[in-house]
Amino acid sequence: MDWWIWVVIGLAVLAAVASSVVAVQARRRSGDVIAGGTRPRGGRKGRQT
Amino acid sequence: MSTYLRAREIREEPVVTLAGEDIAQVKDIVFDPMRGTLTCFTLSGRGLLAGPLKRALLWKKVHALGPDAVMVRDGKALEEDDQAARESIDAPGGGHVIGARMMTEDGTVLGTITDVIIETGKAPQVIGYEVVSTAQTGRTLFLPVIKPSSVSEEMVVVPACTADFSAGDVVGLPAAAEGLRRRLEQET
Amino acid sequence: MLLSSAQGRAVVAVSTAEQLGTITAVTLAPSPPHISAVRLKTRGRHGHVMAWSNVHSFGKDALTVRSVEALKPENELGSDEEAHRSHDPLGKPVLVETGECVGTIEDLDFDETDGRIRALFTAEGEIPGDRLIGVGSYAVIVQRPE
Repeated sequence: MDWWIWVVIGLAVLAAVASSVVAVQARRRSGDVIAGGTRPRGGRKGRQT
Repeated sequence: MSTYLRAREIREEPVVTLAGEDIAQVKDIVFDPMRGTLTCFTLSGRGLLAGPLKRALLWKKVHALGPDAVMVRDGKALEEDDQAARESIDAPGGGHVIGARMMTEDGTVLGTITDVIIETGKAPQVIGYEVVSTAQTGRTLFLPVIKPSSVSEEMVVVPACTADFSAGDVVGLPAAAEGLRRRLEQET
Repeated sequence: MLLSSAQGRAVVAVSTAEQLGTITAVTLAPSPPHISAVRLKTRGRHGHVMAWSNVHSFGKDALTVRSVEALKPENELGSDEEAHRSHDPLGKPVLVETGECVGTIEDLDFDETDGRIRALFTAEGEIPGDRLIGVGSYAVIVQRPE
């Protein structure tokens, strides 16, 4: 095959790897809304109302 | 003048110093569901290839929380590690509230929580939750929450009369909260 | 003087009567809000900066400086230096210290005798220069209105 086909394939692979890294990092950066725990750890002191 | 922010919209807001540098961005918003106050933010780096930063931003170190940025005095406002955030997140009695159910004390499921509504100002306060109703399928309600009865990973339990004070939009929440507050005072 | 009218103006060295370049932009510093340096385009490939203290006179047709030694290549500046390009406000979002964005810097008005900032301009309107708190690589920060 002509050499340029390998260049195109190489660039396509690079693009796929780069975009998947970007996607993985975007997922790792995404966050949530979290209610922090309010009950004391270990002991049972009853409900906090 | 109060404005209202949705907690989900605070995610990925830049953390900006008073010198104009964006040193991080918000990852998780951690709040105290009983007091309705903000506890801390966990952070990520900025940029396409950045991942989570192992540094927390405690609420007391925040200069201001706005619709477009979380302001801090300078880079020293960030903790050296995310220990404080981990302790709050891992302690029992909390959880990821988006997707959790809201249920009244008498066993009625009001719906699924889709957002947390925060009133901004000197001391931002969680004033309610956005809920997709199960009873009226798909309809979005805003329910005031002054003090939940209890919170777990799966659900937030609220006083039974909460269902009487729903609002159709965020703007109606303060009035709904006032109504709920008065009813709760009557009941106790 | 508006920055938009100063852009493109010649920068001339008084000691040698040579034109060193043309003004492209400025960098700002707070306390009190003022121009810390003038950024210029010169014949060379890289941009140059000149600290405001080296300005001899800001005239109608040219900015004069005492000597060519006043110029420093931009790429030699550290990001912590006042004249670094991260402190150029043009095109940057304006964030009030409350965390709200109120527009993008389109122009500014400065006093050509001392470099003090009189006003910042966005599409939405004018912000008094004395409200400037800082200019960084991400945004221009201003105090909340009284």
